[in-house]
Amino acid sequence: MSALRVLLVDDEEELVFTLEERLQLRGMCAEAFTSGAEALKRIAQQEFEVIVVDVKMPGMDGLELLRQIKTLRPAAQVILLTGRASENESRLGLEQGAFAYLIKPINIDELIKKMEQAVSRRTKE
Amino acid sequence: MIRVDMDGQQGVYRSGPAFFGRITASVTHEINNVLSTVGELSGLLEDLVAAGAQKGPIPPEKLRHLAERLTAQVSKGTAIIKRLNRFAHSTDEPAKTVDLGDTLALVVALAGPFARRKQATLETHAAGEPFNVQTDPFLLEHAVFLGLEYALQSGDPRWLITVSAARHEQLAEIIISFVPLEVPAMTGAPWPLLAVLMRQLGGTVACTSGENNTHHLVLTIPLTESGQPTMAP
Repeated sequence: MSALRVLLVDDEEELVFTLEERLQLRGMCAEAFTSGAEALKRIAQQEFEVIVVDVKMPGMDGLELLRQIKTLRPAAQVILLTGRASENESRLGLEQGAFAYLIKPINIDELIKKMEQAVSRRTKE
Repeated sequence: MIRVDMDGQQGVYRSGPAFFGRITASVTHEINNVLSTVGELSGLLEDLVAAGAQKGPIPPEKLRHLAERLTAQVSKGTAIIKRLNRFAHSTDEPAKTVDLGDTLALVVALAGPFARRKQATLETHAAGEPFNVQTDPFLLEHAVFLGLEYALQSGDPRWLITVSAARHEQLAEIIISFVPLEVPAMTGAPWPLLAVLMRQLGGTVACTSGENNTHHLVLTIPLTESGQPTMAP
């Protein structure tokens, strides 16, 4: 079975690159980006099974990025990362096609579980 | 020069707690990000130790680099908490002697996340010797923040927004300079509230346009309640 392709987007540089490293250590093909615009360029080139997106980002925010991902790659499963204050936006994200949202600070085991569920839904679709 | 003279009494009573709430929410969001990063870094260390049981010891260079990254996050968190603490203590006394440059630097740092969301950059410009003002520190911080918010709303994010202070006889001037996307309207939020806050501080607010389409929001306050300058520490 091929490694899960995951793309991570968060403007918190140290956070997103550390998460990338942790997922790579678990055998995933993880790639991290710090802006929605950079991430979209990569998504246009390469298909990812799961895309993890921070809701609050400068420039293109997480919900706008979600809309663009769904246009570009409808099958991609998006998991939103959010703070308590942005939970309403994340609920809106679910209505717009996100698979799930997690509140920061996240637990990596919980994230991986959500990723596996997301891949399972993608396979069924 | 356009003088602003608007009655903004409505909503003034709630504006102080609302400002305090916005800043606290923003700072705690920053702290949450730092703690999340510390959590991931320590998680990475655990992962490496677990992987090391099968693949051999972690290279010392890798460990040293991880320790540096953790230390950087702790320093970042400490600086954020110090700012919040200083801001919280600005409500302690309604009149206090403060270094104006330090106060402006604090407000610029607190407004940083709001600027980043708009992809704009704020900077304080020191002009001349530092000097003190005797004022209500919380009201002053609120007024400067509103001025910055106005510059962020109206300004072109490609241009730096600068904040500087100057002393003219018995007055202190705080100048927020920005390049607007279009001629800024001096109506609507935050004008009425800013005008009221400046009156409470015994000062004025005005907007001037200068060279290269740069606009200057000028907040003027007396140096002291008695109008006499005080010495910087």
